[in-house]
Amino acid sequence: MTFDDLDTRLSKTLSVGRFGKTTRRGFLKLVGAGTGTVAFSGLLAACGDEPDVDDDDDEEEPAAPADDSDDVADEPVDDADDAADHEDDDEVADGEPQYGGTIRVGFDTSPEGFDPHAATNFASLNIFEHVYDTMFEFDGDLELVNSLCESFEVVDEVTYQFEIREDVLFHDGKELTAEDVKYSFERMIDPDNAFPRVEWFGRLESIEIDGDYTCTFVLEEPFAPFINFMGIQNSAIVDQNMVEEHGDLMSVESANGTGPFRLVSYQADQEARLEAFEDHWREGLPYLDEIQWMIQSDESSRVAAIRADEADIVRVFDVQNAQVLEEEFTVHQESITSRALSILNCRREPLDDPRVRQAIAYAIDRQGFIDAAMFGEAEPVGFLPLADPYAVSVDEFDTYTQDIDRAMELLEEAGYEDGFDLHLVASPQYAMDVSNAEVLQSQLQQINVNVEIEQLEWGTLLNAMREDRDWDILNIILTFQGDPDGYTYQYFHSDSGENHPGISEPELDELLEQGRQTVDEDERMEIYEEIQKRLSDEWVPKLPLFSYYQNFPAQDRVHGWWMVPTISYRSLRDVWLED
Amino acid sequence: MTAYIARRLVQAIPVLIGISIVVFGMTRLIPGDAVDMMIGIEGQVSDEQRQEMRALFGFDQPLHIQYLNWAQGVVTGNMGISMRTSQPVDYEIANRLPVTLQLTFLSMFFAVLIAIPLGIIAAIKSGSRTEAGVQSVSLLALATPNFFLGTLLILFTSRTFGWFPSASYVSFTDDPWRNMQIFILPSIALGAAISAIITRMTRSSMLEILGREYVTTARAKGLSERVVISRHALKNALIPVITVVGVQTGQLLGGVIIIEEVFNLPGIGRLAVQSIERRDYPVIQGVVLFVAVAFVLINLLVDVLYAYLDPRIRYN
Repeated sequence: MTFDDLDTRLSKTLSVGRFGKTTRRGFLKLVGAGTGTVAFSGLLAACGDEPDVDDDDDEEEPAAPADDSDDVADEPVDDADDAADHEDDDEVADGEPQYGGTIRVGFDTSPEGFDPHAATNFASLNIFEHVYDTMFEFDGDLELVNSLCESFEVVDEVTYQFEIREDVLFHDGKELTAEDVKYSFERMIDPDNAFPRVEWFGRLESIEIDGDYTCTFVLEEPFAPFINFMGIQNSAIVDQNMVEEHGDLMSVESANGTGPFRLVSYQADQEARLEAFEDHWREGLPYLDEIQWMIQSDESSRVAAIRADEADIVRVFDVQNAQVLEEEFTVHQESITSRALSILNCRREPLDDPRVRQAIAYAIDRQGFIDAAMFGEAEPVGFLPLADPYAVSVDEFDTYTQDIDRAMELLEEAGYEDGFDLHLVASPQYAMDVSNAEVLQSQLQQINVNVEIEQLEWGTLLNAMREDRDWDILNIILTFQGDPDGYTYQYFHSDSGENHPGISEPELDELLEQGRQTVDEDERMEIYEEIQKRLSDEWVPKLPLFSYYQNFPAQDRVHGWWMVPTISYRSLRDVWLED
Repeated sequence: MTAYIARRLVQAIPVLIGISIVVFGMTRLIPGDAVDMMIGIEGQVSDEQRQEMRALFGFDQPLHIQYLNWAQGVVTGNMGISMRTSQPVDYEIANRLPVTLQLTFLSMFFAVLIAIPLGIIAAIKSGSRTEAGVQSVSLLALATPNFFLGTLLILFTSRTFGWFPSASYVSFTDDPWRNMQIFILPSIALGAAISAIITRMTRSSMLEILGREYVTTARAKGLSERVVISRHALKNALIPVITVVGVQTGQLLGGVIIIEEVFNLPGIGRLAVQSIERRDYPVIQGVVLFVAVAFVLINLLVDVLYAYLDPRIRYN
């Protein structure tokens, strides 16, 4: 791919706003999804040139690839250079899905146990998500769709009644019942377990079971994010027997879910193997016989593996590696929910003055970050991921247009026109955090702000973020949180333990609380719109810089792969290999 | 001899206690703890919940109590549970050990294979250009850090032969050929510096022996130079070399840390690095203690071997 192609593609992606590449597939999925859809924002007209995506919500039959030609006509922004895009090439050529085969996936980090309720890292999550199902899951648009849940009803603000599917078997042959659902949620919030995400469901007062397939959740107080959090892979439905037998669900032996693959073995730091579960409830799925999940911590060894045909699909982080591989392989470029950002420490002078933070926001040019750190392969982003249904377009943020004069005015008002020094910390664990630090350093010179960069080891950085707090700016990457509340409340409410910027604004607190308690979707939308705009232009506790893509070079025989922007590999259940 | 071994083992105990205290203290000095790492950046966790999690792992207790609890476990054969994977620490170590052992012994094998002949040649051809050549090459090998050499080797083999180091580890029992392909480059990278040390040791030891009177006697008897060197001189010259091999084998166990990272090998070196990154205290402590014990045992073995090789040496 040349840089010209890249430019065209970028401007294309930008012009379709948040309905970029990946989201169009999501639409297609929704079209086929039928009953599976919980929330459905009527934007179907814009969808569709990614025919291979099997709709994973249609459990009746494996979806046949749709015909591409019809859709292209409806898609004015995308037909120009489809041919230049490997991904589309590949998918146009798709035929009937074939069964069988082992896919070899090259992944970068070792899992840390397979207990879905305890794990917080993606390395574990991306393995156990094939083993367990959740009540709901997120599609390519970050809309919640049904999974184990057949339907649900909001009885009142605090009462939700769920009907679960009746045809679901665990890997050991046991039938899924409402009892398992009740047990799983109770396990997640059991204080004895001290699971890290107890916040999601901590407001559950009781779960009542009515028959085998109905359960009613009663909350202590209205808590709207609750339902979205049920769609995150950690909210898995597990088997009580296994917990009782093994004490926890960390080991391979204790993995017994309802998902499309069974976890068969794991050799520490080497590979995990997953085999297709024959009696999986999504009929006809999965196509693959086996997943060989290889841990290759070094990026160069993943690149070598795909070159030597020792892997079918690998993840590469370095944009330049992806560009080189694009000459030989199909490189799936996936828009994900990960965002690079700078946290501003609002506890310390001079950043305790909102005018100073606003000045910094006006002084930066996001395209500069995107070009320097990601070679152009990213998009400006706000406080929510681009694809999130609640996300406000970045065009609506005043501070997103660089305005040095305005920045200088604000600094003058605050009495800092002569400039000051800032201490920035970032970890080389993520190269882009450090390159962003350098870009920020050079951009802030324009308003006489001198940034000193200190590189910290990852664990030390986490400690500095939460406890030591000896920094003015901290660069970090954040990912998927399921609900607008997840992206805001924990970071910006003055009572929250994870309020890293240390911001304390009574009005903001009030809005965040309202957001939690408001169940009506339109009202919630308005609240979060206000929160996002005022966070960007008024309070500025963080500078969201960009949302980047992730690159997955794959062998040509791999079909049906896409990455759910929640950073999920669950499309492996729809993947098939050509002979 | 048994008494000697027993005495040496008893002497090792304070050393190991010392090491365990230092390691325990140092892991706690690194900012951030395992709970921070578990939560990562995005766990929605309140301060209270974080403190509860700490209490669950006993981090809320005073350091000396934490140490004593751990030490008590170790003495009774329980090295604790990995906070990262929830597996027992000894299981984690045992899982990685074959890789590290294979790497250590292959490196040593290559090092000895190259070093002893080179050392002998350098000694026999003392003063010649050959000796100067051997000496300078070994100096270079000694001065090159193994991770640098490893990276160079990867670059060289991939550029010239298009030969990439294998992406995933294969055990010897599964596929001996692939397994050896995986191990050859790291073994060379790791063995180079040691081979330099052994070469120099062999040379100087050999030179010294060659000047001895019994060698002159052997020559005077009319024995061929080959027999003089191999039968009479070499045997005696190798005794100090064995010390070096022993000590270096212990060092190698530590040296594998970086090489395992460079070559993507799942040994205890990688385990140590990952555990440090994740603040997995029980595993860090376990690995360091394990390496320390191995070091002590290898040194003891070398001393015992001494007595066997040189009957004049008696330990009483």
